[in-house]
Order: sequence, then C-alpha cells, then structure tokens
Amino acid sequence: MKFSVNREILLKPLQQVAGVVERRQTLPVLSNLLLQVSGNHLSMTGTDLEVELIGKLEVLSPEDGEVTVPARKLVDICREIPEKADIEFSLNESRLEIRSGRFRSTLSTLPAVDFPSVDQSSSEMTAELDSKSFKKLLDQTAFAMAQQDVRYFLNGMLIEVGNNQVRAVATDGHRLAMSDLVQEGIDGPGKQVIVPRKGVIEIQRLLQEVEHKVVVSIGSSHLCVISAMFTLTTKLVDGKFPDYDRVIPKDGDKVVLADKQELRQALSRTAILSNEKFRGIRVSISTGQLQLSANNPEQEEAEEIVSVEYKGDSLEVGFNVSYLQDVLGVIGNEKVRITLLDGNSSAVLEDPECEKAVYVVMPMKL
Amino acid sequence: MRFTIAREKFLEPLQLAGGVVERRQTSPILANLLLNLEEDRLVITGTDQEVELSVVITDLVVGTPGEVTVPALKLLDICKSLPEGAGMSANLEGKRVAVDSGRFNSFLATLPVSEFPNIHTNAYDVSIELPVQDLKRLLKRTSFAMAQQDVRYFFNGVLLEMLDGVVRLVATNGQRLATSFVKTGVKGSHQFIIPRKGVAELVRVLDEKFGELVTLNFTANHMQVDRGNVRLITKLIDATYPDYLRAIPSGGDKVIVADRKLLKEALSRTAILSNELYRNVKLMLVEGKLDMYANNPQQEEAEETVTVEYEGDSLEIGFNVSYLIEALCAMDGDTVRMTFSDPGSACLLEDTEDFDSFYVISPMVL
Repeated sequence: MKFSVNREILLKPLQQVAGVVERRQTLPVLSNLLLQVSGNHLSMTGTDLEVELIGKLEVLSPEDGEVTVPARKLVDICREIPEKADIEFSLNESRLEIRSGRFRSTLSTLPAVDFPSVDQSSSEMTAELDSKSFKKLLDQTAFAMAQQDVRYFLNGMLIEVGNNQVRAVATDGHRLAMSDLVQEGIDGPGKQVIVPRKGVIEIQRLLQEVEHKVVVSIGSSHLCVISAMFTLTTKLVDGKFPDYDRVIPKDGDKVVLADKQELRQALSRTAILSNEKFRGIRVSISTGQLQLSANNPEQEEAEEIVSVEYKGDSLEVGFNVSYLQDVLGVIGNEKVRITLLDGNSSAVLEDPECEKAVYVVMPMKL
Repeated sequence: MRFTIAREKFLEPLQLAGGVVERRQTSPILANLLLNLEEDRLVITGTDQEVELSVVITDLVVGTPGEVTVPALKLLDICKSLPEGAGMSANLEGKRVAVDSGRFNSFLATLPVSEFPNIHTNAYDVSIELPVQDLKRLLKRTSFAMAQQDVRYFFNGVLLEMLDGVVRLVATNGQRLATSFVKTGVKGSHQFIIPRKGVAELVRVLDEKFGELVTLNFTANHMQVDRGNVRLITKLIDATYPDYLRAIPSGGDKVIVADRKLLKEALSRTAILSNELYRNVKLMLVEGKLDMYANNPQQEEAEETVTVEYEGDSLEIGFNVSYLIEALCAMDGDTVRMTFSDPGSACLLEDTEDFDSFYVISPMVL
C-alpha cells in the first residue's frame, strides 16, 4: 500500500474520522484507523463498534492495499507536519512509513482483517435532507437524551421518518424535546428508529463539516448518513421508545408569554442559590408576573420577579432549573410560551412563532 | 454592614480576589471572601493561606461600615449574572447578607470574620522596583522550569536573587534549569523563593494598567506587591536554594546554532513516537546537521534532520524532549545556540539575541 497526499487535503477528514475512536477501548484494533487504497482513492475508517465513520479522498501515486494504524498518533504526526507539505505513506512489511521533507517515521500496524466492520442491513427507507436543517433538528432535541440510564432506549434519540417529515424526540424521563423537519417527498407511514447517544453526537459533529445535502438511509438495525466525502453508520437501539404523544400535556390553560433572554438570565441568577444536587426552583405565576425562588441547605435563598404576559389564576410549580435553562438555550426566538395546568402537571415550553418544536418539563416536589 | 455599588465596579475586584480562592478547601472559611467596609471604601480579600489578595474599592455608597465573610464563588456568580450596568446592594441582616439588584433578591450565608485567616506580615526589610516589562520577561523565561509537587519543596517555586546590582530569577526541577537576569540599582545580596501559586498570582497583577513600574517588598517570610488598588501577599518558601551556578555546564566545545522555530517543530513531530512515559529523544550531531530520533515500546520510530551551523566531532546524546521544547518556547529570538560536551554532560541553550538568559538540560541515558 502506498500513497501521497497534501497535509491540507488529509488533515480535516482524518481528524473527523479519528474523532469516532474512543480514548479507551476494549480491543487494541479499535484505537486504530483502517486505511484502504484502491485506485486513486484512500478510504479511512474509524469505529467504536457502535458508530463507524468512513472518509474518502483522492490521493496521488497510489498502490492498492490496506492496513490499520494508531489513530491518535497518525493525527498528531499529520498535524505537526508543516502546513501545505506533501506527506508520503508506504507500507513496508508490517510498518507504515510516513515521510515528509526530512521527517520520517514508522507506525506499528495491525492487520486489516482484524478490523471490525459494522454489519450493514439493507436500506428500507432513504431521505435526502438539507444538512443545516437536519443539524438544527438534532441540536434542538439532543440535550434531552438520557445518559447511562438503565432504561437503555432513553440513551438515544427517536427518529421518525415519513408523512413528509422527519421528527426527532428525546427524553430522559424528566423532560422531553420534540422537533419536526418538514420535507416533501418522504412518503409512507412513519418509520421509527432509536439512534444511540454516541451516534447522535457523531452525526451532529459530521453535519458541522458537511454543506448542502446528506442522504439518510435507514435499515432494520442501522442508520447511515451519507455525504460526498463521508459515510457514517450507527447501530440502532433495539427497544421501545415511550409513547411521547401521551407525555405532552394538551389541557394546559395557563399560558405565559415571557421574554426569553430576561427569563434565562433570571433563572441563572436564581439557580446559584438552589440546592446544588437537586437544582429545584419554585416558579409562581400571577397576573402580569412570574416569580422565581430557590434556596439551599445553607439557608441561602434567591428570588426574582420577571414581568410576563399572563392573565389568570395564580399557580406555584417546582422545576429542575437546569431543565428550564436547557430549553431556553435552544429556543431561537426572543419570546417563549409556557403553558401550565396545575402544580402537579408538566410545563410545555414553545417558541410562539415556530410550532415545530415542543418541550415538556416535568414538575418537581420542593 | 451595608453598601451600594455598580456591578461593573464590583465584578473585576471580585474576580481578582476570588481567583486566589481554591476550588477545594481544607476549611469552609477559605471558600469565603472577606468584605471589610469602612467609611469610604470596601476591601475585598481572598486567601488560600499561602497567597492573599485584596482589592480596595473606593467608588461606592457606604450605608453602614462593618465586616463579613461570604461564599466567594456564589457572590461572583451572582455579580456576573446580573445585567450589564446594573446596580447592586449588600446588606448584613442577622447572619446572612442580602444581595439585591432590581427585582432580584438573595440571601448569602456568612461565616464569622474572626475565623478568616489574614496573613500577618512584618515591616518589610528589602524592596526592589522594576519595570513591569522586565519582570514579565524574567518570569516568562524561567517560571516554566519550576517543579510541581516535588518533595524537594524549594523546587516548587522560583528563586529571586539580588546580587551586585542584578536581579536574577532561577527555576529548576533538578533535571532542567532556567535563569534570566536584569540589571537594576539594587543593593545588598538576598535570596527569596516565591512559591508556584505566588508566581501565578504575581503574573495576574502585573497588568500594565496598574503602572509601568512594580515594587516587590520582602520580609524574611513574605513578599508583598501593591499594584494600584490591589495588594498581593504571598508566603515565601523557607529553604536554602541549591547553588544553581554548579548546575551550569562549562567547557562545552560542541556548539551548534539552529533556527529556533524549525528545531521546535521537528522536535514536536519526533516526540510523538517517543516513549510516552520517559519522552526520550536522541540527538545526533554531525557537521552541518542535527539528526533526532525517537522510538517507543511499540517499535514505532520517528526521525528528522535539521540543518544547523556546526563544525566539530560527532556526538550522540539523549534528552527528555519536553524539556527541550519548553526551553525553546520560553525564548523569543529566531536562532538558538546549544552547547554540548559529552553524552553524560548537560546541554546549555541560549537565545542568540538574549545575553541575559540561559537554559540547562541534563541528558538522559537511553
């Protein structure tokens, strides 16, 4: 195997692919990248057995072959090579030699046959999406995913494709985020899959680098995101996602319209003196105002009044302040609409000008 | 105790004094700031019992003088999260301090002022005045070479020596040493060891907005620096510093002159495949060039050749590559002179444009 490539062409895709590789692995070969040269194309693959990312690019003076090399060291070396320099790679016996100018190094390798590939399932549905809109959809909801929850199906995001839209839903059992992306031409009834947390994060990272369109392809056990240069494959979580529609309260009658920035700042001030572990905050609404109050075991307390548009009965509800802050962090409007029912019911938060995204935060006993 | 102040007047002093407060403390009082309010001024003090920093604020409305200690981080967070241009007030009510601004009200817990450990200093014996630029340069050239948590506790600091009209800083961890001096009108001969944290805080108060000259005042056990409205007091390390003159190699006959940036970059590349623990790199001097070579237990290797000015015998010598790179980073000039004698002797590095600093690095047996 042999090829030559300019540092500026190689470095970005290499870093992207190596980003999938976990710092600690169960198998030595998982800390490696698979390099394959065929014709004048180099294909680089990184995996953690759950998510696989392949980057393809054109190289010069190629000679077919394949090998795996340590990902971290390969990235470090290419990064330290002077800008715009050409780098030559050649496989000599079981070592990969890297040369650039008067620098020469050899990296240890492991056989390409040992490199695990994520099994592919045949595609059952594909959709072409604008990468910016797709990224926005994920960014608006990903924060609500659970982390290392025993209900493993919550450690991911529900993606529903069909009925001319893509819907993303995430919940950790205490709050829920749902967002829709309308896309004409996606026929058929909705197909639901759960993408694991790491898969979602890697798709977000990939979409940052991709302009224009990506193709999303869904199989029975995999989801692929394909761009001109990259193919990302993630396993799906085999489980039943909660019926999110039942979680979204529909009977709230107390509607508060608040300035998002003002409410967000008041929350972050008040949160300073909330219980550091439980992060509880009391929200009291009455005509024209919303009052926030928090206290902690050190007998410290904070309260703030925010003017809002509201007419109706007074109500007091407790929430985890971080959950409210997370939602306000992704709402893109200057205003936020909060719909409440009573002290034991969840709050619904929405961008009043965009009904595509809905956020639900469960109350907490204080 | 009661006062009213503008957020912008309060924030920076809080950040300065709060910066000294450690995240984890041995005693709760060390998480607090002392607020001492007199007729026309407020003094804010933070400490970790080794370093104490206090800031005087004069431009505020004093209601009732008094003293109190409050949690540093929470007060800072509240001040930070208030809107720009806001005013705020603090008022001692019973055992709590009410901090209010607009429609935000909060109560912070206090601890008795008598528990706050002020550092008590005697009248100082020695003072020197230096241009800030000079002291900053001296610190940049040397402080990186201090040890960290070494049992030889005097290595965990920087030596400041006054001798024959010269102020010299020395730092070493036993394997490498850096020193730099500046001529002043200083009289007498003194040695003080400033601990690592004191050095870090000193750098923070060297901002030129406080004036172009800085005065360092010493007692046998403390250094005090007054900068505008800021006072820094640090304990000194009570020990005799090793005779650094003995560490300086003499009689080196192999002198190379190299481009500093090129050498640093080549070392950074080669370092990637050195032993991760020992970081050893072999240098080979041959006429007109310097070869470097590193390998690791995975049988990976890297080598590079750098063109240098050198005439003389060949030499092979090993170093911790991090020590070489850090010394090269402390310099500003374009070229570096390195003087070697034999594989068992330390190497002397000098910036060819800076006659007042030098760096010594002990070799490693490979």
